[in-house]
Order: sequence, then structure tokens, then C-alpha cells
Amino acid sequence: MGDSAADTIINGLDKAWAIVKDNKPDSSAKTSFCQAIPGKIPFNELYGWKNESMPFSYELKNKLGITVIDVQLQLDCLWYGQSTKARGLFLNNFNVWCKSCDVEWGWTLNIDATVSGNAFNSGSKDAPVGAIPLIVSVQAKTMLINTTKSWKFTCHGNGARDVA
Amino acid sequence: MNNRRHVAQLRMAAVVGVIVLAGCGSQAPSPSTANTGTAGKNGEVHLTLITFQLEDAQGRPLTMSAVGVITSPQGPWGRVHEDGTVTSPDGALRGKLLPTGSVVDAQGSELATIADDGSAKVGAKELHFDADGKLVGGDPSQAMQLRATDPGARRIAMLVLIMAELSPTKQ
Repeated sequence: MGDSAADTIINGLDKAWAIVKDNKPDSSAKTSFCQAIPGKIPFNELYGWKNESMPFSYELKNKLGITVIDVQLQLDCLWYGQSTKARGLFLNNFNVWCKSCDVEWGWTLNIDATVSGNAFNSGSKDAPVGAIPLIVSVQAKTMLINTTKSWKFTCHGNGARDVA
Repeated sequence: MNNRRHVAQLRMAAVVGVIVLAGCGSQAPSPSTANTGTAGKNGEVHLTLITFQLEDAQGRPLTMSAVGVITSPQGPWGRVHEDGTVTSPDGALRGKLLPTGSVVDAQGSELATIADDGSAKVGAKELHFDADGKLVGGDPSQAMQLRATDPGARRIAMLVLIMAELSPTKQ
């Protein structure tokens, strides 16, 4: 790890993408990512990455008690990225995508991911930790209702993860 | 002894009377009084079950059979009964159409009101099926088409639509 701390942390990748579009998983979601890496260090000079995956799901029933929406999602990221040029732990390939999606009669589902603000340092000045918040928003609607649900996932370069 | 026998006979007569009254309340409606949703003689709803199909925005069908069984492309979704109750495939009560036109869930909370002509009020939304069977008044991006030969199907179709398109969670 470098002697000086990374001074800027950036997201040079995507800021928003569709995860489910009109009841179907969006294939581009698997290759849409955000990151929190040092601004002045080329990506290929970062090393030490560790994989992290977290499955989660969303389910909704109708008034008949039938499960009308059953979606399996997955959060992936690489964390613990380091550089010989600057101190800090960084985050890359932070992604949420849809593994499977069942939407029944009368219902329409859309799910989007949006980076909330900028990548930031969630550590200290001397020991930076790259972090970035990603909001995953679900919109389920019928002729009669429009119901929403969202999660805010903040992944950190030290492996920490906040869900709000 | 005679007194005891008399008391026993009176009790038996009372029990028989209760059974007769209960029997009257659960009688099936005669065809002449049956319709698609007005209150019957005993203040209960008597629905005539009519086959129909509801087609959603993706062209998927939800059907109701002549015995009230609701079937989606996924499989059985429940059943509408002549007394206005709606049950899930396991037979659990899920909702009911009352003689007043109110649709209530299993807990008795009002979900909507449906008029005799099949028009409904769900929250701030006023809905009806037009002459071609197209649902008017909901989210225009979520088209819904009723296919039925009998116009009387509109009220039951609206009941099924409400139960299928509302979620138990607070909106």
C-alpha cells in the first residue's frame, strides 16, 4: 500500500441502469457497474480485490393471497482494492441485477438502480475507504394501484455494507 | 314427569325452528330472483356466475368459469361464490361483495364499491367497462379488456379485478 492517502475518490462507471423492464430482466444490468476508486490512479494499478455477493428478493401478494410478484435479485461487488501509490481500500464493479423474475396476471414490474450522489470517503483522511450509495427502486403497478419500494445499499471498500 | 316431557318437547321444537330458519337463510336463489349482484330477500348478495375472460396489458387471460373458479395462466387463483364471497384456492375467505355494493377484505375493511351496472369506485379512481368491454378509468398504461357474452358479467368481473389487482399492503 502507498505512503500517501488517496485524495480523491470517484465513480468513473455507470450512474443508473434498468434491472427489470416491463416484467423482464434487463440484460444490460449484468454489465452495469459503479465504483469508488482513487481518481488519479489507473484502475489496472489496483490489486487485492475480494468478491462479495448478496442475494435478496422482493415478493408481493394480491388480495386473493396469490404471489403476483416474485423477484430474485443479486448485489455483487469487488472490495479491498489497494494501490502501491496511495493508502486506502476501494470498491469496484458494484452491481445489482435480476436473477429471476415472475410477474403474474395484471401486474407490471419495473426495477431501476440509481447511484445516489457521488462516490465518497467513508474512512478517514489518513486511511481512506471508498464508498458509494446505490438506490434500487421497485415499482409494481396494476390498473388500480402503483406501489413502490426502495433500498439504499452503500458498499464500502473495507467490506462494510449498509442497507437502508 | 309430564311437565318434564313437555319442557323437552318445547326445547326440541325450538331447535327444529332454529334449523328451519337457518335453512331459509342459506337457500340458493331461484333463477327468477337471481341477478349479478343486487340484494336478495334476506339482505344477502346472490350472484349469477357467468363465464368471462379478462385480458391484461400483456394479453394474458384471467378466466372465471360458470361455477366461479378463477384461473390465471399460472393456475387456480380462487373462487367467487353466489353469496358474494371470494375465496383463495385453499378455501380461505379473502373478500366479500356486500348487498350495499361494498367490497370488503377478510378483515372487513372496505376496498371499493361496485354498482349494479359494474362501475366501481376504488379510492379516488372511478372505473367502468365500456360497451366494447374496455376498462376505463384506471392507469391508461395498464389496458384491460373484458370478454364476455353477457353484460351481466361486468359486476363479477369488476369484483375479480379488484381482488386480483390490489395488494394486502397499505397503498
